[in-house]
Amino acid sequence: MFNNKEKNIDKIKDAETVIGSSIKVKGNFHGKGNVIIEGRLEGSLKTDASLLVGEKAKISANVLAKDAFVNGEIAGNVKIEKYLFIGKTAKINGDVSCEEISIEKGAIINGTFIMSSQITKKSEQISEKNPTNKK
Amino acid sequence: MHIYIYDDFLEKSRYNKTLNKIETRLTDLGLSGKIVRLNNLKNSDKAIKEEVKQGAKTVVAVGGDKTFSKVINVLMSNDLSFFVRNIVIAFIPVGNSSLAETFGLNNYQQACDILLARRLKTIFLAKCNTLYFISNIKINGENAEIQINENYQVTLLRNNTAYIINVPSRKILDKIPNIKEIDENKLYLYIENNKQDFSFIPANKLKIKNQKNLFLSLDSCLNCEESADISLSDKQIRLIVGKNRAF
Repeated sequence: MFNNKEKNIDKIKDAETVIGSSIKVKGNFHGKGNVIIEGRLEGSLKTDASLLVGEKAKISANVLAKDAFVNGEIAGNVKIEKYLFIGKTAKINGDVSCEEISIEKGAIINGTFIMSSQITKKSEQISEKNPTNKK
Repeated sequence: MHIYIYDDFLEKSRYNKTLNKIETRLTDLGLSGKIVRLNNLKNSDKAIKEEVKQGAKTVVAVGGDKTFSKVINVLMSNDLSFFVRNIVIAFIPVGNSSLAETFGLNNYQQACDILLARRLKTIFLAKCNTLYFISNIKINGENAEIQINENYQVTLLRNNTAYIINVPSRKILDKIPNIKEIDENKLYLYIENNKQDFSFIPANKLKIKNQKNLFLSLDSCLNCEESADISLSDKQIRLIVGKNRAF
């Protein structure tokens, strides 16, 4: 899924969990499938699959996911294994790490970025050039 | 051997025609059996239990959703656990019934034919405190707090209607087109407040705390007004269902 990543933001199919705008979730949420958040969440949020944060969503939590499409507010660190899309209405207060990223004009991000794949690739290249460095 | 459990409301004269039609159809299909009437709850519990112990193979609830729920809760009694393993349960709806729609039974005539076809589906029952339910619990309660899997808590913010679902009805399935699939080994918390907004959360265990104005309705009939512990039970039933069932 998510072949046309940006186009599919509003069309996440096959969601396992949907947290609508009329509820508030407090605690440690851990899902295995795709998660859509349109409401409020406090605590921690983790899913082994994809995460969609809607425009009106307010999350006060550290977030872990495989892929994420963020259009709402997140106060907490965002750690994404693969692809992270940050939309123009997104507001992130926290550190962000991922492998690939797209950021739309208008997004607000206060925190540091770590592109994990580049770090891994660079260190692999250095190791290849200087095989003697290997232990 | 078939046992037919008639609810007491069917004793009213306006149901005579309906019952005659059902009985004629069952006789034509070669499915006639013994009739037990739910006149007095204690006596009828005893009567159902005796029939099951004497070797009833198919127990058919005839009436509304409440009838079906009563029969299920009697059959799940501990003293019947040995006998219930071999029993098949069926439903002939009379009047309005949301369970009938979920089971794929359009009306009582069709339910009789489906009884003959004997298409079986095994379903785990869910439990709310000491009561068993098959389809859902409707939750009414302002600012109700629902604890899920002992990990997190959901608070209903506005005037929402919430359901804890074991076997989803067609009505609810139609409202959740983006959901991947229903896992039969899980319960789901479904919350709606208007056509655009809904929440859908899988869960193994749910706890609803005791609070003011809390009202729970199990399978649209059995009521519970206390705090509730809800989970899937280890008890399963073999149910006769129609082709157009919701699950």
